[in-house]
Amino acid sequence: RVSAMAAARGTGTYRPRWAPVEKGKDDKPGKSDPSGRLDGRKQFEMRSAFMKVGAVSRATGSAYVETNNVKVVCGVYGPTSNERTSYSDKGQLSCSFEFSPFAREKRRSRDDEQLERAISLMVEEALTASIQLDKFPKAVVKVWVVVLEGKSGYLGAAVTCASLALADAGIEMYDMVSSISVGIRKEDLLMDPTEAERGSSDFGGSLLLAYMPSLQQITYISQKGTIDSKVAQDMVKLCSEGCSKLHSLMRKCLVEAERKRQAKLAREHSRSNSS
Amino acid sequence: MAAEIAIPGDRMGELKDYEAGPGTYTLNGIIFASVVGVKKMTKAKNENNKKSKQRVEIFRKQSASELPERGDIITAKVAKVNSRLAKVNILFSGERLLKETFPGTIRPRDVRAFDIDNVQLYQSFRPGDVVRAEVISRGDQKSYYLSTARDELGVILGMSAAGHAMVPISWNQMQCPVTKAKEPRKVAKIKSVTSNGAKKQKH
Repeated sequence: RVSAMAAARGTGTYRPRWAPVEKGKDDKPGKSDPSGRLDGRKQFEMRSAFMKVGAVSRATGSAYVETNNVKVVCGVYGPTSNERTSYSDKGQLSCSFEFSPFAREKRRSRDDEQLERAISLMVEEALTASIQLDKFPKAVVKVWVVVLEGKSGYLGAAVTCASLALADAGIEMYDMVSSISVGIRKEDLLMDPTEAERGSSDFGGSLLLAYMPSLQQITYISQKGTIDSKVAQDMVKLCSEGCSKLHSLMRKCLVEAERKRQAKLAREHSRSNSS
Repeated sequence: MAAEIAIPGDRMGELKDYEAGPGTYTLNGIIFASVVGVKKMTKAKNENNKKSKQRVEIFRKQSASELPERGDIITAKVAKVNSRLAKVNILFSGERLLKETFPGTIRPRDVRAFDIDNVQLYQSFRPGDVVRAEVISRGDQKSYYLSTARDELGVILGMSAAGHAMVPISWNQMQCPVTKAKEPRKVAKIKSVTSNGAKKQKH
């Protein structure tokens, strides 16, 4: 039973909790704690993450990423024939981002569609540079990202999750893409800010980075708020360090899943040989 | 026997030491992995060069992007036939079942190698036939262009009007085994199977 549970678990340092978050710990905005952050993290400490591939059995590839209070699932379908666009020697990536109705405090409404469309384009932009589009001419790869829960940090998780799903699908890529954001409160940089931190009165802004860690290239960058350019450069550096840390978790997740697949294939092969 | 598993973006070696095989790409003389898979080293088949390099490839049993490519021999099911073209759905590429079907088109000039001006498409294919064809080009966005202009290409399975699988009797005729009615088709010439071990036709 223990091994079955371990098998069901993905990888990462964080085990999903099913118990509700304790009230008062993460929720109170505006409380500036000089000794550290509300949720007990250090300044440059990321939220630990749980990653698993193959979560959606019907999809060509899929992944699930969970950190504290953020749960994102992604399914990748394709490459399929795409008769609607004009001829192209390169393939196309089509991303769709969606909140589930229960993802945030307020139920998802029609007003959120505009935001979802904007985020879809952002995820597409972050991922397109990493895909070898010339490997599937005329065809389209569809990426569907659904946020099951998330008030803050779901953008980074969405890109990371989608990249894992694409790798799980076997789409040829140049590199994985991981994504994290860094906030600034007064003069302190905060790695992976929570919703409470973002809502506090002295929060100055944030920077979101999508990064290809092996090729050391940025695929997407977006910044909110008024930030000094020197500080922004530091934030980019901090983000890329965070992305590299996420990358090692992604690698562990993919390698474990591939080993399980190889073991399963070897068992089936030996079974068919002996019968 | 712990096989090394690579993920996209992993450095696999340098072009001066190795050859880049499937599942990899090269950038600035370095070989990187393109997919998640097991790293395999194979000897590159090179008779002339004594100093043949080892080839790095990332092997992934079920890869996603399997598309028909120019020169592939594919197996397709005929969907629609009119005077200008025959529309098919490509199911297999070689002996590999594709995960998705892709649309293909056979034009009158590509049905056979001779007398191409007088080809009647409806005498060559019927909806529901299974045909073997060669991909001659990527075509346009809507379909791949296919050709059956070789002896071994054409209809490999055709149903008669009475609903039975027909037997080929010549390059352009098939016969229903029950009603004995003959129907025109562009028939694929499949090499016969010998009794001692199957002599499969090479594609």
